[in-house]
Amino acid sequence: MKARAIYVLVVLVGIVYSLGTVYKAYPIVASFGIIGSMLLEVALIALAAAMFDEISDGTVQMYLAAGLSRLEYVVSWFLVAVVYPAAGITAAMLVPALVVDPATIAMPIVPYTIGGFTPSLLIIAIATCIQILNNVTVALALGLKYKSKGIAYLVLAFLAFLMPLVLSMIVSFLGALAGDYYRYYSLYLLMLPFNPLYSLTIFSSSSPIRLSLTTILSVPAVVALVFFLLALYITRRELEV
Amino acid sequence: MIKYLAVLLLIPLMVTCFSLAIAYFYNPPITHTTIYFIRGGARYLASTVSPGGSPVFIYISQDHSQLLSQYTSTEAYTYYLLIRSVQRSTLPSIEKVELALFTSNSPVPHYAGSIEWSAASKIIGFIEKNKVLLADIALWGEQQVPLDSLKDRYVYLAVIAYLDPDTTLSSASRHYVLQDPLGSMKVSDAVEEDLGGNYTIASVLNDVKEAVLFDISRAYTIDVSIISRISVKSNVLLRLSIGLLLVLTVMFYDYRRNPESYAFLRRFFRGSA
Repeated sequence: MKARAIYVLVVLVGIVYSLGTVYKAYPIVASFGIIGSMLLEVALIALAAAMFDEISDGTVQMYLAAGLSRLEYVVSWFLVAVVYPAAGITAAMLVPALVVDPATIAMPIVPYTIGGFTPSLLIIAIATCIQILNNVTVALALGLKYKSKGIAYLVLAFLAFLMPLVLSMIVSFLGALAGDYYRYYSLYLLMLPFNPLYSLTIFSSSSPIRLSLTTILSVPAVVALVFFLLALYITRRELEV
Repeated sequence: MIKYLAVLLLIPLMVTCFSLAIAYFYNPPITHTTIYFIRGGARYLASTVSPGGSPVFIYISQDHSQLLSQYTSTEAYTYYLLIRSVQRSTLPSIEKVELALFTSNSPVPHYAGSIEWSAASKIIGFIEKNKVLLADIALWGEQQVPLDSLKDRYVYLAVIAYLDPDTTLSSASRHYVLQDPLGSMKVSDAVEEDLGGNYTIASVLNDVKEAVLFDISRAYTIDVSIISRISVKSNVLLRLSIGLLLVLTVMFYDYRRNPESYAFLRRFFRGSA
């Protein structure tokens, strides 16, 4: 039932992205990329937390008794709660653009410019996909490690909301004290492994720290993969049901 | 499993169909809006006198082609430049104002000063010939032109103001807040005809020029927007059809293979029947 709710949620959020793309409201799609992905991630964790309930109340035994291994059980949850939503949102952005005009996918989204950098729809779609993969995977993996959905909520809230907010406050505050806003700009590098959408705006061409697009997108993707492997390791070695 | 993957593609495709239908009735949001007029200085500013004895001021703006390229064009839409003009106040002492958006293959040269009517008429003729919008502006007007016609050309806004020859310079100076007192001399008195039949313009009218153009810039508001209208071409329909066909074919074969996994559809249709 929870899995079906995730499908419905992905479809509903995807409709918003698709409408934005067909209506060429690319700036809306780009802005919604950050807010929409945050809200989607929270909803995904809320739904995927059912996995922790199933483990704690023993419902999981029913699946395991039916021949499903622990690894298959956890991987299927990751597929439903992480991979499917990320793929769904990416498809919701790119498929309408492919129909309307394939050339626009790689075209810089004029007049939407973030910090001197004009991203294409493809980059925004990939960054949104990686952000969902990364944040939800990290939250689920750590939740699995401590067998606590509270930890998963906390980690997700930290990655999606608190970290960007707190870092910008610290950088601004310390910068104001030092009389140079950019003095502590390098603190934003802490965001690089987890927030590609923010990193696009922070490490763009006009910022004091410039990072290549490959770095901005690949670092969080690798981190997501590492945490997924960690989740598999925890499942094999530590997870007791 | 396949049905969920197919839905990933089917939903955006269906939303695309739906959105294109909506876009047919409700235009997508305006891509770019600018209000520009005399701001940014003139590229060409000249004063002259018409054969009828009216002092004429010609203003040509900076090139605006850069602004018009600030949009992302897509195949399913046709783009138009929409210009809305509103005259917010009357212009005393002015016989006629012509506003025109015109294009040119080459940039308009920089110039500021007086010219003879023979040269001015050529410029006015060039503007008339290449104008795309806004001729004989009314109190309120809205016009649109396909953006394709402006592609790769310089785009200028021109103002041609004809001063009323019967107005007095003093009334003009009261309105246009000139620095020097101009007495009760008529505008026509400030224009002299030389032996060759050409008119020369008194320097005092050059002082009026800036004030008149400034007043015109305050009197008119011009909003320039780029709008898009749905224009579904065969390529778009083809891509949409191929996408839908592929997804529905996959779903159909998946249904034939495992009809039970689509039980929810049967329940849905039974429920709605």
